[in-house]
Amino acid sequence: MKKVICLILALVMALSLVACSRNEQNENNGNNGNNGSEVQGNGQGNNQGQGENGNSVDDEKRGGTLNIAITADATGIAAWTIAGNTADFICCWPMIEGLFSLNSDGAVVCWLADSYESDAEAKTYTIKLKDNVFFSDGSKLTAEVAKWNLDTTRERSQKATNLIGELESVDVIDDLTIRLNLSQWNSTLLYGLARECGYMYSKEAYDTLGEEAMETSPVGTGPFVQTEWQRDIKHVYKRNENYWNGDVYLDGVTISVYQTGLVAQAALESSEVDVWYNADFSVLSGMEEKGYTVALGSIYNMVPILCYNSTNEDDPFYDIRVRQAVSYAIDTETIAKTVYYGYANARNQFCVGDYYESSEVKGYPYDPAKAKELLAEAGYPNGFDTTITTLATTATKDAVTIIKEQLAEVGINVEINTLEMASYVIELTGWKSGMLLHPSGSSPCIPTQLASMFCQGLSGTVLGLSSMIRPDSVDQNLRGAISATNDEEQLRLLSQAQVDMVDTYCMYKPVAEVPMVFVKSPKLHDDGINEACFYSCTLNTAWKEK
Amino acid sequence: MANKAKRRRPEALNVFFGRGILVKLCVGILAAFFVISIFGSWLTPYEPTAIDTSNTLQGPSLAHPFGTDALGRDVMSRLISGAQVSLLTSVLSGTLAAIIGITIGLIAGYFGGVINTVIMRLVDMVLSIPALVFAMVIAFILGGGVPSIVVAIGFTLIPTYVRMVNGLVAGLRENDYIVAAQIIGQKNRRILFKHLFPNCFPSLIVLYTMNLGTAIMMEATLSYLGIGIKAPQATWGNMVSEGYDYLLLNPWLCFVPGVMVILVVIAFNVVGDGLRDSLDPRLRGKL
Repeated sequence: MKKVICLILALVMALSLVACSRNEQNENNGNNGNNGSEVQGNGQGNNQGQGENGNSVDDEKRGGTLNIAITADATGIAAWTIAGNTADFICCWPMIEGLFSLNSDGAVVCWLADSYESDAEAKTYTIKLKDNVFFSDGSKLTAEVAKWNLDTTRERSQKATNLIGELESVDVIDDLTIRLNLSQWNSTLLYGLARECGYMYSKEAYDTLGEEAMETSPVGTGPFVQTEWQRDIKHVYKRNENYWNGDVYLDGVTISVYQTGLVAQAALESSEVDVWYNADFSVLSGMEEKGYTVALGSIYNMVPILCYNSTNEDDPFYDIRVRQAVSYAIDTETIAKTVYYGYANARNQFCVGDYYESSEVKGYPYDPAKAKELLAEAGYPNGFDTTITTLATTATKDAVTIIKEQLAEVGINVEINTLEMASYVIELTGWKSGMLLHPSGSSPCIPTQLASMFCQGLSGTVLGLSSMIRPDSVDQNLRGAISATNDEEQLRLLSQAQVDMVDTYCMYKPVAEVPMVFVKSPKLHDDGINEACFYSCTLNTAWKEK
Repeated sequence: MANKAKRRRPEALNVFFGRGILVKLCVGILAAFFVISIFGSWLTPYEPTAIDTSNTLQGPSLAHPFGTDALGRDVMSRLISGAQVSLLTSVLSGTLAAIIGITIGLIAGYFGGVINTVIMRLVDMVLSIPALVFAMVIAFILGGGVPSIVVAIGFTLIPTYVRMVNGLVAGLRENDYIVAAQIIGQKNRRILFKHLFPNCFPSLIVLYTMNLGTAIMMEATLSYLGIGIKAPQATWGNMVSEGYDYLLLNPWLCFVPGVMVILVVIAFNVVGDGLRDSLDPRLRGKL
């Protein structure tokens, strides 16, 4: 009897499963049908467009929604709430534009600004705005509005001190011209204005809707307007019909938060999304083989560096010979090849791209024999026990595992300490002893980046604030590079700072320059996503194949 | 007396193995698990933490039966090494919990009254916190590593012993032989550990066996969450966690240690069930 009941139950279960799968299939078919009708709707739009414009090429491009997958939501999308996470910038792409942007070489180019002049002696930048720029609420970008934006950012943005700290005041010269007055000359200020510090928001909307509304639904000059933001779920944007810079092809943009990369990958492969941000390096070659575009950016934006505690007298790393020995014992080529699957480049200095690279830096090429020699000189012929702390990500965990293995060859026994973000941020400013592998983000503007990390007198969440030495010469050269009045001078001073940080004081061992990865559908074109770096893109010209 | 014991032993074994092929299979799995764990150091074909960057993410082959991971480490060697960690943490945490939990349970059950009330309310308080959360907090405070994981898991298992022993002793202490022992002036310690504890033993064996499975699962979970055993030490939990990133690319990295956890935990539970049936006189003959 029991067997009969079991058999009947199993049969019922099997039938239920079959029935459920049929329903699912029907639902999927229904969704496909919906998609089909959307395509048809786009087709109608195309026809209308063709009728009105007579431009079949443009009509081919018109329509569709760009879907972007991110793995964590933005912390803020107003200039003063942006924390600097990549998702913050991605969520601003469709609707917010800045005075400047970066071209594919990483050089600053005008965007909402029409032109600019710099005067190092007078310590001013004079910026002329484009005449025809309107916000999505219809208000015009004028010098007054630009001044209000820069003043607000200067006073309230978390990154303002680092990026535009020298900006003292903004004068309105005429309706379309502003003058930035600096307390001290900064040749790299425009890099700050090519990211959130240069973002322009509608003052009229701010005055009308209030601050809170601007923080959740800001009004910018971009090709799209945000219509919905469900935190940790998605951002929805529709086309800005009054975009100042010509027609926009896409109907809208949706940025969805996928908690895991695997789900985002599956979504991309099933055409649910068109762009996947933060793909794991291990899948990139496979995705390329499948025809997807892997956008690494011409300017890489992360430089993992192995920092040594050089302020604790009881720590072996207080001795520069130990720091140098460890630097010689680590093979960064292997780390770049293994951890980043060949998508990263080993570097001997903290640098992204070629422009700021110093040929004067000797660095520490892999040489275990030299490492042992230095350890013996320092009084550690049999090595010593130490720790290495890092953030708990796949890449950093793999990197420290390799470092542990390589250091074991010269007798150094390393205990790995991986931390979640909250604990890591505390350790970051002052780990007590040993090493810290820091996956540092990097601005394309290396002088600004290094000055914000290694100058003296910094405060807040700064790498190695109490754990790393900050020599006077490094401080002077970095500050000098920022305030240099010509490129040659800037490069010379930066080079000297790099030599000091790496060769003279061995403050850290740079591991590699690592790209930010976006995987894109081959059907997406002219989007400019991650062409140079992730600060901005050209969604106004983006279009999708039908 | 001795003959009676001889006659009972095969009967219990008969009941145990008479439950079907599943019990035999699970005993086999556990036997293999113990052998691999104990003799693992001689069985690993490669050093479990040895990196081979020229041989990463390889599929199963004769040289590497379960392939290699993202750093070129042999998955089979890491599985064996992980088994050692699993056995070590489960046995140590189970034993720690048993020693503390049984002692407290004996005291609570035997003395009763205020002592019982205080102990059992404390146990209720601990039980009101989800076991995993409790273990995570302790592991976080102690900072990971085998000793702290043993303590964290051990502490979460203590209430299970306290409750069981308290219940058993509350019934046993009314028996004539306990009353007689008290009348002839035996010390409480002797009554607790010479008379009461042996009579709780069959049930405790079952609980201990099942808790080993729970401890393995908990260790795997803590390691998966990154607050358990630290890298590069292999554990099944952190192998699943590391393999998850390659689920679509190399599924076996995640699949193999995951299956190992499932098999061993199921085996401990099935064997525990079997032991209960064979050792509990109330169930004997009813199966």
